[in-house]
Amino acid sequence: MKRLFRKLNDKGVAKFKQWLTSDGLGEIPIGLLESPEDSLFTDFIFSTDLPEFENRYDFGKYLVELLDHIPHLEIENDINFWSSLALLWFDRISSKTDSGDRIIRETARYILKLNWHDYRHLVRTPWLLVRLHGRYSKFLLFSAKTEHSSLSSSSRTLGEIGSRQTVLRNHKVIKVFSNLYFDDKANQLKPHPMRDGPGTPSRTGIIVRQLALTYDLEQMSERAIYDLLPREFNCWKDGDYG
Amino acid sequence: MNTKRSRRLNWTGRITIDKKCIDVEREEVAENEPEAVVINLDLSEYSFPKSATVMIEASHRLTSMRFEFGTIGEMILRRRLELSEFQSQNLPTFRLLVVDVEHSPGRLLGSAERIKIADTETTESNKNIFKVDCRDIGEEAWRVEFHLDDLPKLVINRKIPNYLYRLETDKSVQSQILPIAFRIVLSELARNIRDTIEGEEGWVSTWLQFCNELCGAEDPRQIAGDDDRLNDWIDNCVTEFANFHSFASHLAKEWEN
Repeated sequence: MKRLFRKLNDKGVAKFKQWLTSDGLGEIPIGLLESPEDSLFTDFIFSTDLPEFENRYDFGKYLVELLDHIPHLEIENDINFWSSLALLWFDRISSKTDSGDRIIRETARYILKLNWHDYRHLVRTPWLLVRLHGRYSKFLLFSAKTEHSSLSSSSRTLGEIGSRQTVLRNHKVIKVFSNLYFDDKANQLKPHPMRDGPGTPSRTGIIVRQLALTYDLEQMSERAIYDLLPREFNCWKDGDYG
Repeated sequence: MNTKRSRRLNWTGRITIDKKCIDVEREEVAENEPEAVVINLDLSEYSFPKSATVMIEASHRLTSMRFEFGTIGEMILRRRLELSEFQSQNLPTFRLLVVDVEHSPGRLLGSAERIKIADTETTESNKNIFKVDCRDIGEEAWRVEFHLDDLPKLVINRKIPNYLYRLETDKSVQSQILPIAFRIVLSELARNIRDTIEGEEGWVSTWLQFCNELCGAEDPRQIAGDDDRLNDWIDNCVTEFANFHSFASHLAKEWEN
């Protein structure tokens, strides 16, 4: 059911943070979103019921549609907005041990921190990546078969690339790496035995930075960027680009 | 006689264009209107091919906008840019690009990086390592905040009368804040050093250069992952910083009086 969204104020965010740093003892402080002292009404109306998702890409796609009526500039860097959604859906984005105990991870996953760690936010990042790159963000939001897949964890690939703004803001570069690392037909990440080393996502930031010193990657075709990649990426290339 | 500016070449062959050749002025805009700047360009000191394209890229975090300025032969010298993708609190930095279109299409012939809007440049020396902000931060006297594209911000609590003035002028106040703030920034830098690529993060480069000039310490990017050595690097830099400013001596003198 659609409803007027209430957003945490600074005090509410501080209380949410306090709860997180005290290992999430007791109930999720969802009441902060109803308390006039800790939150306020926004102009945004949307449904806060969250359906089931198979992966974080589907979650991001859902969020982009859900928040489509809100100018993205109004919310993109709004710490309180994203922290409020994280609180609202905390049960879905947090994980539990086998015995059912809640696991609280680093605060940056729930309370947006606008620095190197912003990509770790579990709600904003799927929204942002799908908004910026559409289906080409799948390689960043899908987890490998060997990884646990849920809304509560980021993939290893995102961990390697998430802080590389030069990579993330260039749509053509993202399309090229999507082509390398994601199997569209099978709709899954291509398997790769190595975590680090030549050709792996951990190398993309350095390589793109080096190329960007010599070329204007924005102006080049994806094919041209693909051809510029050093040999270490050959193991991912299968046939013609595209 | 060739009066053209001597070229500064790097290994890529790209010419580093002097930032003085580009002027970015913020324009007054009405409320609810997108931010706007006026760009003035003068590349007459350089000898780029006439066919090369000239472009300005505005970027902040994951948002970027591009604006064409024609070719070197027919360059737009002055242009108003509407920054519709940026908010006033997140204004972009600018990059000037001169790109080859003939011999090696897409190759950068020259660039000027991280150009700031004139009125947002730091007003003191170029060696500023903090931005200072004065606002209400509850019961905290001061704190350090981090933003990717800007210098670390030293936030001073507005509720404390004359605190900002005293920080700027009173060595004893400086001695109680600056070494700790300095350490906080270096710890943040060291914690994230693995994610940092040379030249990619503006303030990190500024800080690394500052630390290097201060104490000639090793580049922490070379010791990323070695926590012991990173901690030594932090200690060393803080010690040199404190020595340089004689913080403890100033405080001792102040208290003696």
